[in-house]
Amino acid sequence: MNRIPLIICRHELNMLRRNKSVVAGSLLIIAILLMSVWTGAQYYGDLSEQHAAAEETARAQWEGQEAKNPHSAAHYGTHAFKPVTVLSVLDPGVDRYTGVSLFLEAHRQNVTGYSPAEDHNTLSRFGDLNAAFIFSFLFPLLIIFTGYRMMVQERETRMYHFMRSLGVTDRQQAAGKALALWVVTGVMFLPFILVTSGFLIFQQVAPTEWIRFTGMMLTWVLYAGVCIHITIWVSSRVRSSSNALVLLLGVWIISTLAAPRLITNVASAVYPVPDAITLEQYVQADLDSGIDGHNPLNQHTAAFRDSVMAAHNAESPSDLPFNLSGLMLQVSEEYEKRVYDRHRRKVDTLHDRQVRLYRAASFVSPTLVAQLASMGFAGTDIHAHRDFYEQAEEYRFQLMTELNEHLKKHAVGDDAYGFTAGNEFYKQTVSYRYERPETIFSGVPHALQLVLLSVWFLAGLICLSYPGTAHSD
Amino acid sequence: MWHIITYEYRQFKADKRFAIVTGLIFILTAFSLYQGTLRTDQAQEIRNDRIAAQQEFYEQKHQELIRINQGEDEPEQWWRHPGHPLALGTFRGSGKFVFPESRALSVIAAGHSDILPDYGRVRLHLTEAVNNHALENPVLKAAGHFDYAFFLVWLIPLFVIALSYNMISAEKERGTYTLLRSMPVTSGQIIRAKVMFRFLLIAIVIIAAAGASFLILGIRAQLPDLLMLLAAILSYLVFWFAVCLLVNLIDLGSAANALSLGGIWILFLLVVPAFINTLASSMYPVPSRAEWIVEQRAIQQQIEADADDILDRFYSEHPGEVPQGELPLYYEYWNTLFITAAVVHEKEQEALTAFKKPQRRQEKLIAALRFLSPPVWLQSRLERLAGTDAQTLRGLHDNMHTFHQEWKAFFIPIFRELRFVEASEFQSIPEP
Amino acid sequence: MIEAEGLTKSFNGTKAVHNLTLNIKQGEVYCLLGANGAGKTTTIHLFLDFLKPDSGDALINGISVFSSPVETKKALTYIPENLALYPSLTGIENLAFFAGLGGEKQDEEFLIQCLSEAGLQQEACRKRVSRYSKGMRQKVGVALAIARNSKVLLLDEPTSGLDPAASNDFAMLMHRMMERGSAILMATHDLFRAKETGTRAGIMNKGVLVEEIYTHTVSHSDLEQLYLNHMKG
Repeated sequence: MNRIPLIICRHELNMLRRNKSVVAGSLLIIAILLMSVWTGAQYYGDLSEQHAAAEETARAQWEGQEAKNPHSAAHYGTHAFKPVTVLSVLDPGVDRYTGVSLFLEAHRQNVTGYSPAEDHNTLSRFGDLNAAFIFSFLFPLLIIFTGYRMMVQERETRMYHFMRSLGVTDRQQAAGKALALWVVTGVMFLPFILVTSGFLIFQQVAPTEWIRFTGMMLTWVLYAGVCIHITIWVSSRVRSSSNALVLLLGVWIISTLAAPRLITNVASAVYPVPDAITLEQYVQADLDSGIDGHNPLNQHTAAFRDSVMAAHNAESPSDLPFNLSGLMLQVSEEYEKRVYDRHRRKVDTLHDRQVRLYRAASFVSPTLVAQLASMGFAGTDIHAHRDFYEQAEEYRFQLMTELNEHLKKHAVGDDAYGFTAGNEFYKQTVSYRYERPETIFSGVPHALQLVLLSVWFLAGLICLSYPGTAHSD
Repeated sequence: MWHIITYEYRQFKADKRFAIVTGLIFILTAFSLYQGTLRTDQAQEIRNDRIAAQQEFYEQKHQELIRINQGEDEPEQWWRHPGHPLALGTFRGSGKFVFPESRALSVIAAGHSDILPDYGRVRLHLTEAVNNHALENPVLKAAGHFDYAFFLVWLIPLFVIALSYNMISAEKERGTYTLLRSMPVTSGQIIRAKVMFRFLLIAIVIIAAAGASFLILGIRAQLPDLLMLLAAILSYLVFWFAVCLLVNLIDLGSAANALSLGGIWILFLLVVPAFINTLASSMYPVPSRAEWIVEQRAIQQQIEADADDILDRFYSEHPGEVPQGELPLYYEYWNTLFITAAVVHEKEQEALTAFKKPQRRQEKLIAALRFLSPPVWLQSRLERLAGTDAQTLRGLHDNMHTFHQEWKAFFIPIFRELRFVEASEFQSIPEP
Repeated sequence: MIEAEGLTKSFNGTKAVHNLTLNIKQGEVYCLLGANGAGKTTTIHLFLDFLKPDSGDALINGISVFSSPVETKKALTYIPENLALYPSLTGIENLAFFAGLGGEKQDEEFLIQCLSEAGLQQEACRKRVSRYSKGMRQKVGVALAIARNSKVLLLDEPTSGLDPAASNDFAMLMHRMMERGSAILMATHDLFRAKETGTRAGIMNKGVLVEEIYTHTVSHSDLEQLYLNHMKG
């Protein structure tokens, strides 16, 4: 290994140490970063307490309901609350825009309600001090401001020819300067990693959270690397330092500000998602062609009832060895679930396609793909939200099945009329507990994001090994 | 002064800067406003659909009622009677849609329109807010929109900086500054003229681009609103030109100027708003709605348990309302519901203060601090003009409540009198 | 017309110009000679009010440049060593801009006339300045003086870097300006040009005007000898 890049790196660091604005900027960002962990941790503490309390109360409300027909209880329903993940402290992802709770009731699948954004203030569209924001917006800026002149100033000050005469190649210069930026960035990551690790140890998180945290850090280090390599490379290719600055800031603006918003507009135009009421109408239309446990006049329902009676050679429902309504409700619940699932999957597919557009746009914006990867690891992305929804829906169906089975089994004979179930029963019903998936790479898109980011990283590295010599006067 | 301005213009024209700036501003303005019209048209379409469906519902009931009066038709059950106050006031398909205050300039800022409810439906036993965007991808919501407000707030300062970071330093670096200063003009006159020229250039291009886009896209707006918009944009420009002027007066050379202005831009657009944001939400945290959900449920359970007491209290306070004679079977259920619903609403409002209070305090803090960051000021100004700010949209709940009172005032007496709504009374069914 | 009275200016304790007294009349070309750092450019910058003196005064047409800078600048034209113009504008446009800054608006025809009087080809006038040679740009400077009808010219090394032919052209121009009744103060290294063009020459050393001579009274070699003697002493 050649020692020249190391010498250049040390020389650059010496100069940077004396550059007051670089030192002040880095210290400021480190301070903001640590502050964001602190405020985030507080928010997380409050929120998880509130959600745990709400979950407990909701269960108590369910268990404490007065004696009633199990199907009335099914209509009364219960709530599932979305648990807060520890890593949302670092990257809240889309959590602010997804609902915190889901109402679980008979016959229908609801939409998660009450996103924190609804209660949030006017500034919600501006930044929020959290690690992901700082890594994706402020780190690149610091890297650009520190590094945009590194290569080009050698030419501007005519130091370049002198260095060449000493036998230093462009590649060695670029390597040394990139190394210096790596050291600066590393120094900024270090206190963050230490403090956050301390927080995670204090929170006694599961081992998977550590893997997730490592994944997040890997994402942001790769992203910082992309920024470093592009900065040095651009600096080696331009005519003047002001050109370098303008070009790099332009790239930053497109990557962090313009591209995400543009894709939003494109995505909602190309893959429009129906509004809630329209979707409800589609679902209703499908349901009307199925079995309705409530409406005796529905012809499908009548046909089904007749077939059940015929199978058991029964004259009237009371002759059956089980409660017919219980059965019918369960059958219609299954049908309704199928209809709702189908429509939900359609919406999910639209969402996936929209997200794919963001991923596709990552060729102009490494920021987008880094953000997607980071929130993926943090478990605050759309997939994590979907996972919550699906588990809650699975639970709803289990609960409804238990209620219907209870009705079917016990509301027989003399008990059939005015049948009620008491607390004893509701206490026994299945309870809800969200289980975070053990596997972190829950699908192809997840891994793809990291691959895309690595491609950017490698591309930056390759560019860096071909620094420009075209404008050496 | 005009002399310098004219020649600045000639230079701009000669070196393509004029074309680039004008072109970009026109493209970005047209694009963002076009996106705005797509958004508002879609909202308007949904709105029209809802209103049409609701009109059709009442029109149909009216026709049915006329047929019944003429003896051509006979309802099978009471709930199918087209004049029944419950059928018209609270059953499926009935009720009226209430919308938040809408503004003609809503195209300029998406604001909170994809987060907060778009309209509400008011029925006798229930008022519910509906969000058109409930199924929208949260990734899209988090990324935000490329709206005209984004262009103005975030990008315009960059145009200002790009054109003015080197007003004096470029002359110095080119060497023309010595000659310029040997002429009988003061440096103050020179810089004033340069700032004035750039201000006029950007202001005129912005106005022309917006004007053209408004005309082509057919956006109509009231003159006072347009003047407010113009004043807001111009004030924002003045602020950024003042910043540029200051940096140019200190003048540490083109590169250093660009760096300082870039830093100031980051400070005002990224750091200060994020800081205010974090400060507001950690000083006055809004609790999770999870708490509200269980609380709401607890209130309902409580009221259901106390229903008898509530009814007794109601009748002792309103002796005239005590039902007389033979009552239909449904009467008790619905009557209890209506009486308890008012109590539920009251209790819920009490519980909601836990959310509204910190919200109000946050907004107050932000309002006090928004002068620390003109972008924050402009953003809230534009959202206000667009009627997509949180405050206006949250006003929907008040509108709904007000209309709910009117709705009840019309139907509940008819319900209690156990009569049907007359065909002639259809015109006086309240409209929001 | 160009007067200095005990003009003194020092930078960080070093006297750049010390007690300078000058009086240049109409129809005179006064050449300020001296080594680098002798104070020639500082003197010119003082007359332009680019610098404020520690003591003394500088007068143009009897008016102090320090008390009424704008007034005095109206009467003079300054041509720096490397006359920089706006590269994206044509020669005429540059001329029109700078002439216009003085307040007077001239029509294009007049400006072209000025440019051609200064020795610039007609077709060159309409070309962008980015394609001009240094000599051409200096001619625009002279045209500016003609257009503004300046009777006072301050020139700082106007011929350095010009090839001999261009330099000769410039000397002729100065001669013509002198005949029009201008007072010209020209800082230069070029002893030969000073003898040829100047009516008077002053030698500066370390901020002090050490010798004033009428150029027609000495030969080229005498002037050179004189200059070198001062530099040594």
